[in-house]
Amino acid sequence: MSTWPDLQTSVSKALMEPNMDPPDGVKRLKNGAVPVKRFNVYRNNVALSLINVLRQTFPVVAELVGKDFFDTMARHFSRTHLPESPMMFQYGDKFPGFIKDYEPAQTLPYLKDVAHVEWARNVALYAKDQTSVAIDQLAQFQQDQMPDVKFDLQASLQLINSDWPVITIWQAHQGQGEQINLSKLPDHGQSAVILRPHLEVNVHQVDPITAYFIAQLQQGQSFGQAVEASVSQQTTFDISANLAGLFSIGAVTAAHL
Amino acid sequence: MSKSGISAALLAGAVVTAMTSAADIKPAGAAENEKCYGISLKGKNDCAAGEGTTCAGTSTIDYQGNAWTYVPKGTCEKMELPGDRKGSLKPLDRDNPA
Repeated sequence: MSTWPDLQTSVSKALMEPNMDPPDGVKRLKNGAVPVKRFNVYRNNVALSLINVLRQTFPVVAELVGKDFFDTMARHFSRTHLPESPMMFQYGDKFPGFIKDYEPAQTLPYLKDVAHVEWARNVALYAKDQTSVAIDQLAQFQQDQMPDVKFDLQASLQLINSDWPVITIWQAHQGQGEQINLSKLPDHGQSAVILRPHLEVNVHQVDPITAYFIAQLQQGQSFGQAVEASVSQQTTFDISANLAGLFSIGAVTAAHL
Repeated sequence: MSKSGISAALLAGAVVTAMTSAADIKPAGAAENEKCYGISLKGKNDCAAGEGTTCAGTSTIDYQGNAWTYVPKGTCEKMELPGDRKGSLKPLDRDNPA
C-alpha cells in the first residue's frame, strides 16, 4: 500500500502522461479492473482546464492560429508546464517563450510577440493599484535639481519591443479597430508601453526610442541619465514630448530626488 | 552636483515645454470599462476583492458580491446570472465569505 504523498505524486505524473496506466493505489472497479476510462476523464479535465486558462489569457494568439492549432499547442505546453501557483491567472508566463521554440509555429514569427503583448496585459491587469501623478509635480524642483530627479513608474508598466508590427496585429483583433489591411501592414517593428493607471489596461504604441527612454527610468536611472542615454541613441530625441507623454499616459507615480 | 552631462537648463526648459503642451494620448484599442460586482466566478475576479480575499484572482465563491470584474460600460447591470442574481456597480452583501 503506497502512502498518500506517494499516491499523489504518481497520480499527478500519470495525469500528464496520456498512455500511462492509472497508478497502483487508485481504487479498482467492483470487478477488480483498473478504472482506465474514469482516469481518462480526470486526465482530460486537467488538460482542458489548463488549455481554457491559456485561451482566456491569450485570445488573440488563439484567433490568429485557430482553435485546433491553439488547443494542440496549449496541450503540448501544459504537459511540460504545470501551474506553479494555485492562482490560475498566473498561469502562462512561459507560454510566449514556448511559442518561440514551438516547431509548428515557426511560420508565424510574430506569434510569440503577440503572446508577449497579451501576457503583459495580463500582468498589468493584476498588478497592484497605484495612483499616477501629474506633470506639475515637477514644479517643486529647482532647475539645478532637475537632472537628478527620479521617477517612480507604475508597477503595472511593461515595455514591448518587437521586430514585427505586433501592436497593429493585436489591435486588429480587438473587435473595434479598423479591419487589418495586409498590404498596408507596417513593414517595421513596433514598440509599446502597457500599463494600468486606473481600471483599464492601456496599450500605447510608441517609438522605439521612447520605449528605450522609459526602460532607463524603469531601471532606476535619473531623468538626466535617461535623457543622456536616449540622446546618445538618437540625437533627435525630443525631451519635452517624451516627458509630456510619460505623464499623460499615467506612467509616473512619484517624482523625487 | 549632477552626475549627468545633459545641462540642467536644457532639462528644465524641456519640463516647462512639456508642462504647457497639452498632450492627449489615447491608448490603442481602448474600450470604456467599468467595475462590475457580483459576477465573477471564484478565482476569476479582477483586483481588490475585499475582505476574505487579498486581491486579484482570490475570490472564493462564484458570483461573490464584493469581487468585481471589468466589463464594457453599460453591460454590468444587464447581466443576469444563475439564481436571480444581477451584476452591480457597487459591492453587494450577497455571496460573501463568512
